[in-house]
Amino acid sequence: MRVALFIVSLYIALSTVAFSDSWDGPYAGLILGAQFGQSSDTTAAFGYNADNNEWDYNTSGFNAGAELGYNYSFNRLVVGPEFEFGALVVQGSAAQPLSPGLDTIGKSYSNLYTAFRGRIGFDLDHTLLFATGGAIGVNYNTQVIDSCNIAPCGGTTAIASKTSFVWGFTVGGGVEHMFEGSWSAKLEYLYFNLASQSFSGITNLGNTYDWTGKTSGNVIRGALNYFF
Amino acid sequence: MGADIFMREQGSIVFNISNTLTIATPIEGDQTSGPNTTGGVQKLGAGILNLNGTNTYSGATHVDGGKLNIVGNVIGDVVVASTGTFYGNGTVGGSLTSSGTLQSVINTGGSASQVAVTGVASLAGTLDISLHSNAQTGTYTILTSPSITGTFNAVTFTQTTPISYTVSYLPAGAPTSVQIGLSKVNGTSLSGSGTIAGPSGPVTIEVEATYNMQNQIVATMFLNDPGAGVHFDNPVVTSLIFNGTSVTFGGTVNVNNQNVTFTTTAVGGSPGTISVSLGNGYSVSGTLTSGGISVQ
Repeated sequence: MRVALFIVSLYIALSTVAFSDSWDGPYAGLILGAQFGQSSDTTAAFGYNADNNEWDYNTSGFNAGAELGYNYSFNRLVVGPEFEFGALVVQGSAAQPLSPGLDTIGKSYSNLYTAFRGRIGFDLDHTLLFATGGAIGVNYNTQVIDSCNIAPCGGTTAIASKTSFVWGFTVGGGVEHMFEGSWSAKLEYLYFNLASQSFSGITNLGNTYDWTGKTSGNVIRGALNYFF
Repeated sequence: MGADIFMREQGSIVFNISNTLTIATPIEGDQTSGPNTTGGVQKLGAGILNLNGTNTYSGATHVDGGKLNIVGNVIGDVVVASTGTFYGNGTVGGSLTSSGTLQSVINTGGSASQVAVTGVASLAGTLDISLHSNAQTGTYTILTSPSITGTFNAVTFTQTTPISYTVSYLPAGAPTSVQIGLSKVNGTSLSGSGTIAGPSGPVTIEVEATYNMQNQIVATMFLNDPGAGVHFDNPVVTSLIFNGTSVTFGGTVNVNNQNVTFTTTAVGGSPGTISVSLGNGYSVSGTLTSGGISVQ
């Protein structure tokens, strides 16, 4: 549905004849792209299965949202804030290699997100090359689950899970082209890195263990903006 | 010993032995001066004496130390002192008076040793039952007498301590037999948690073990010995054996980021005992100082 909306919007943009001759002013638009990242879980010094044991796994997901921004131009220099919100999916899982029977799984999942970024660009006559950076917040769930208790798995089961709105930083850059009319299309890359998450869980024997989860990712996406 | 042993009535044979002596042939009285109660056989010392013949000496048999096994019979009285242990599978022609330990065996095939006492059986002391872990549930008669007086003060088990049992003196009021009712020999589930005193300080232990409906082992364990720097959880349990109130399970577990073998034996009770040994040389065992282990 969001993809269809994006394509329709792009068509409208390209077929619009009016032309805005400046980046100045407010704009709003839609974002669609993909996320490829990496998460890790690390056991504590008194760790489940193993001590101080870190394992990594890849994540992926889509990014769809809306953005609002404002540009100020000084000759060919364009600067301004950008605010976005929507969905950023960071989804992946992997077994802890030192878990018996590979039965202990680290998992990541996220849905809603928002970001506040600043942007600085150089105008190449209707095409803007820009760099950006700021804060990103993601509603992020991290888990470690051991649900198997029959050999070759270990005999213990464990559940640890934490969902919170996690903040981090994001940096990136891209290119934005102003079409005739008030529309622009943007291709953008963002790297983000969320604050590490401390979470704990309990085994079926009632013992509590701690883990630290980290996640970072790369977003490649397009956006379509309307300049007011 | 290929020939019978003859003893003059009123005479005595004293076996003061510290190891095991087996006499397969009968010890016979001379049958000339008639039965009496002054002579007989006396067992002293910590050793074991096996009298396997059909003995005909008429004097009393005194078990004052160690253990006397009579697989056969004696025609006189048997007196077991508090320091003696008597095992019989046969007939006591006189009376039986026990203030020591009377031993009985219940085997895998569903048979029990049985002492048939022709005279009065005066019971006190301890009844010790050597129970095979494959013994079938049911009722076992271990002693008969036309007149049983007294009861055992304590019942102990060797080999296997059953999960649930009864000791009955039947019929009530004027008992003529002692029966062991075994309703459950081996446990089917273990659960326990607590602390034992290790050589490096307190050791926290938790255990759970059973078989599920698919006959798969469902067992786990937690151990934390901070003094020795040893802790683990989530072991791979590949063997689990219930033997009465004792449970032994083992497999592999990650300790200090290395996989090692482990064996744990837990004995249910109040509070119970546990011993753990790891392939890296670590071992700890003891009676729980807090908590408890239940085997049912």
